[in-house]
Amino acid sequence: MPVGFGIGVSHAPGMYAKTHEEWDELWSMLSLRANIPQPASVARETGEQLDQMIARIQAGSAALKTAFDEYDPDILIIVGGDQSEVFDRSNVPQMMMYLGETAEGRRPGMRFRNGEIVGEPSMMTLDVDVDFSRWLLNKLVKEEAFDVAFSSRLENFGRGHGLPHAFVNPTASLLENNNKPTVLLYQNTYDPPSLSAKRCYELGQAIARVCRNDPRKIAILGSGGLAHHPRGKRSGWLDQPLDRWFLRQIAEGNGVATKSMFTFDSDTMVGGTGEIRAWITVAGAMETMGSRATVVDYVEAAKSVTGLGFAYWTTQTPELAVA
Amino acid sequence: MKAGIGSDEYMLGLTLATSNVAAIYRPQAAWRTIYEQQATEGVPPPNELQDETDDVVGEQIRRIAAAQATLRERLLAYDPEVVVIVGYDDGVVFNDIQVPQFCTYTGEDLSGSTAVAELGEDPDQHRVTMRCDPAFAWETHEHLIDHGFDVNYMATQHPLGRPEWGTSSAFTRPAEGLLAGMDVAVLPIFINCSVEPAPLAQRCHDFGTALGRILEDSPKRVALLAVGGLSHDPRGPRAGWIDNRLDNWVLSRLAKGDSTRLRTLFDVDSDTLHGGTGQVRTWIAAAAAAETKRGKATVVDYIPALRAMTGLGFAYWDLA
Repeated sequence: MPVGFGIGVSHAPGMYAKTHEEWDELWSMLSLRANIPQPASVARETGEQLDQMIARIQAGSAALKTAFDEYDPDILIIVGGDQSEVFDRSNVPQMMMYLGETAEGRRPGMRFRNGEIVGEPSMMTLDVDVDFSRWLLNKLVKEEAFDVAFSSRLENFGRGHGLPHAFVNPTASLLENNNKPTVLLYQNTYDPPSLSAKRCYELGQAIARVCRNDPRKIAILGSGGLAHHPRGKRSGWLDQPLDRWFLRQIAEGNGVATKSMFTFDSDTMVGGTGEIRAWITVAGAMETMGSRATVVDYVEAAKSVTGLGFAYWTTQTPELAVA
Repeated sequence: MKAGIGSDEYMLGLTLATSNVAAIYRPQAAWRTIYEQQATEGVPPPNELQDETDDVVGEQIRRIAAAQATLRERLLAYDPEVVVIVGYDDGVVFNDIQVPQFCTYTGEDLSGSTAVAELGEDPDQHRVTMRCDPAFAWETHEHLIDHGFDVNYMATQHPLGRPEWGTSSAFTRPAEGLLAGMDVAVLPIFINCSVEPAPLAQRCHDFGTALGRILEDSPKRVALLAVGGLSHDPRGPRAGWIDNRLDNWVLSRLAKGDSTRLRTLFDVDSDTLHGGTGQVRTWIAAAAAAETKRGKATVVDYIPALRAMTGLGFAYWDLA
């Protein structure tokens, strides 16, 4: 079985907030403390409306978990970035394959108070299929002309705490009671000059191509986005037209159009928005397999400063679904 | 120096390539020690080694010096503002934490050592610091990304392999030798020449082509220097053996301006392509860059120096 299942999912900390207090603490930490003028839409994120938003986020995550468990892959490729967590400025890759046997990271859902983590974060470990990772690395470098760096040992030269949150946040729930060996493929989604969207799409195409004859059921997950720039100049100002345009393209099986993202410089394209690259790679892989995305939901969470996206791809052609 | 539109000042005017093994930077008396340190137990030397008497080695050393002098003359005559050095890591910089395929150095300066470990030299006694040009480096790096190369960057030095050595001898030795006393900035670029999976020759060739085009459009007078090779396998299963046939074929292609023929060089796996021979990748990139300007290599000399365990090559492409 080749690559047969894809996921695109945000990983913003707000997705793991369960109470209004936690929600507002994140808002304070990510925008208010930086003194960023806030859009009027934040007024919607109180009371019952906020309850509904939190419920939609949980439902979105649950829908992805159900689809994942239904497909029940043998292996999960995770495409994600780093925000100076692992890398310092001494060796910053555009793409990097991790070849260690396991990797540990901080489980999401940490509580914050005054911008500080409350209590000791709980850790989780991802198992890596080293043989498959090495095989894929070789294919990408030797046959597909991708200059993928590689690492056999995880060392935090950046802010610490093990694996970047991009790899851990979405998998904490996804792999719960259904642990799978992973492939950890780092992608520069954040640190300019970053990869072009074209390159990211082509990476996905290459992954699908080289895995075409693999006997295993392979899933691929792109982690991050959509438009957001926490603590940045427009922290809390969602770019809904951009997010909705992007989701429409992948829902129509037209992710190839997203190659035009990041071809110009703009305040809206920097920061976490760059993580959409990981989704573009998944789109490249799944569209090569003839699939288009089912967009489960899009949640405009201004206080947690992120347009939250939930989408999955199967190789059974779905009804056109746009959130 | 800036020049007007249409001026030839904006360009890549000179490309050079040199072998870089320790022996060529040390007197004859040191060669035997280096050789013994780099030999592999149980690997006999080729019969021709016995023909390389002290007199023969003395003559080789004169030729090496003459070739180095020729390259230096070309460089001084061209008087570049920046020298882009395409080199390899010799185990000083990277370890298993991360091996990049291509990596641009974008810091203010780069320091390392030219000490020869085989001679027991102290790295601190042989320090070299090169001046870099961060703005030029970042611009070149960004262009490489735009051309579809997934190039790492290194903005600060944090060597992990043998930290006390600083950076690779691929950069320090030419800085101390070929560039000695010149007021010139360097732009170091690493290519993974040894740790599998390393880039194919065709990827290095494409990289060189892109680099050539980028440098041709740069606002500086640039020289490009490839460092490493040719065939050698110190401490490897063919330590002491030189693949003259391969080296001569490589050089003959470069002299014809036909580096395209080298694009398949590392497609096959072979003992003859392992070890230091992998550094021919830097030559392939340089040749491809030069050939964007229809350059053909002038092979200054080729010396299959068995006592230096290396097919020593020296070449330049006059593009001005």
